[in-house]
Amino acid sequence: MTNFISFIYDSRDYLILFLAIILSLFLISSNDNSSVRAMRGSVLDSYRFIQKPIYTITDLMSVRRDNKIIRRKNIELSVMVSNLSEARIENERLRNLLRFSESKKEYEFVTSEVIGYNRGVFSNSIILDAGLEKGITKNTPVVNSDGVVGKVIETGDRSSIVQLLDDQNFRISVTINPGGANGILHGNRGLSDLKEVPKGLLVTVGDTVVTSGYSDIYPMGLMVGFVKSVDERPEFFFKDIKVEPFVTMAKLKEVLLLLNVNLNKAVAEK
Amino acid sequence: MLWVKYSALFFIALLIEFNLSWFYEIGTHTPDLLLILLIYIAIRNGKIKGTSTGFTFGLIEDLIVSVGFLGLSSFTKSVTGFIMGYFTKSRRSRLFPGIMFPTSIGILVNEVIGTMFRIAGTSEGIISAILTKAIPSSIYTFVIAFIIFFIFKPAEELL
Repeated sequence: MTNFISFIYDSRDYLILFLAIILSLFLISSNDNSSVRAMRGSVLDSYRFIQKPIYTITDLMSVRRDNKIIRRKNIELSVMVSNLSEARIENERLRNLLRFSESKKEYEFVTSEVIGYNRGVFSNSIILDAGLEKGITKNTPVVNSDGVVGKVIETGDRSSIVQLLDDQNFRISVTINPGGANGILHGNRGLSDLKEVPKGLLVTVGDTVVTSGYSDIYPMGLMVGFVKSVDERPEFFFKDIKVEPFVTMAKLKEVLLLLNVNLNKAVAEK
Repeated sequence: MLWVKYSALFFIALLIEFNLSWFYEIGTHTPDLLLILLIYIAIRNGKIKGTSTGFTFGLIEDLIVSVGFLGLSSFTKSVTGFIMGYFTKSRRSRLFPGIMFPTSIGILVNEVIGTMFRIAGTSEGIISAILTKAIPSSIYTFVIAFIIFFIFKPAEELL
């Protein structure tokens, strides 16, 4: 018995490593376990208390720079407003012609501040200042005025983690307009890869990529990006397409979360 | 008292990583500040404290920001902390510039193991992922570690 205890004591460094590895592997295998997710939500909420004041300070530091950008943006927007009003009239007319009077989406929007970033080669996420208390749940779509930002992957009571569109593990079903080809967009830092688009379909540089609606998460028609390059290699069945997202992930300050997305209706319309 | 200092450094590194990464990211690469701190702590305190610190740092990082790989950082950082503990007995490895040798090993181990797990199930090849992602990130982390250790030259009695 003494020998056994002495063996354990002498090997304690290896035992601790073994324990750490077992616990880590257990966590990796139980990412969707409800207890683990609840624990994660609590930690996230606690971290929010430290993170939010710090974010406020760093945010204040960039106010002057932002102010300059906003002033310039204001001029651009004034020009855009006149263009948009024309586009709106045209849009209304087309809607009537195509009898899409009932196609107005019934989304409920929740606005949230971005209070933290995690930018890496593989993993790209942001932390939001809103959670379960505002009705946000796992897989809630996240957008901003430019298009799709990502989806919620974890929620606490007052905070959430969003997997960004340029995260390596992000996948989204999309349609390329005006051709109508469908494909799967694979997230990536920089340009994203649009896969599974057969060679026979017409895709050109500059085409718009929108959500297809063939998804349990995103409704159809949300802007995603535009086609940056199209290649075809003889040895592959599919085109090699690179897409540049409309949203600049590094500059996110506020985002919108879409609640109660009526997916069935969107798919039926399509 | 020592661990209060380590905890304070941990929170500073965490807050810098999650608030100012846009300021120092090069392309898609950002240095792992928590890893640099872990390596320093493990070299100073041995395998047991290195492993447990690595696990704790990794777990907190995982809980706050991991995307689909909860437990991966705790795994890689535990292994890194353990390996770095082997250098505790070498006086040269505890001081600058000798500390840069174990630091390079620790960074490489952490990045390579992490990369292997992250690309599992994707179409990306292991060699390509290591060359294009793990190695550049490791080099950037190493450069930042060099700058930090050069400025705050670890002395025998420091911390």
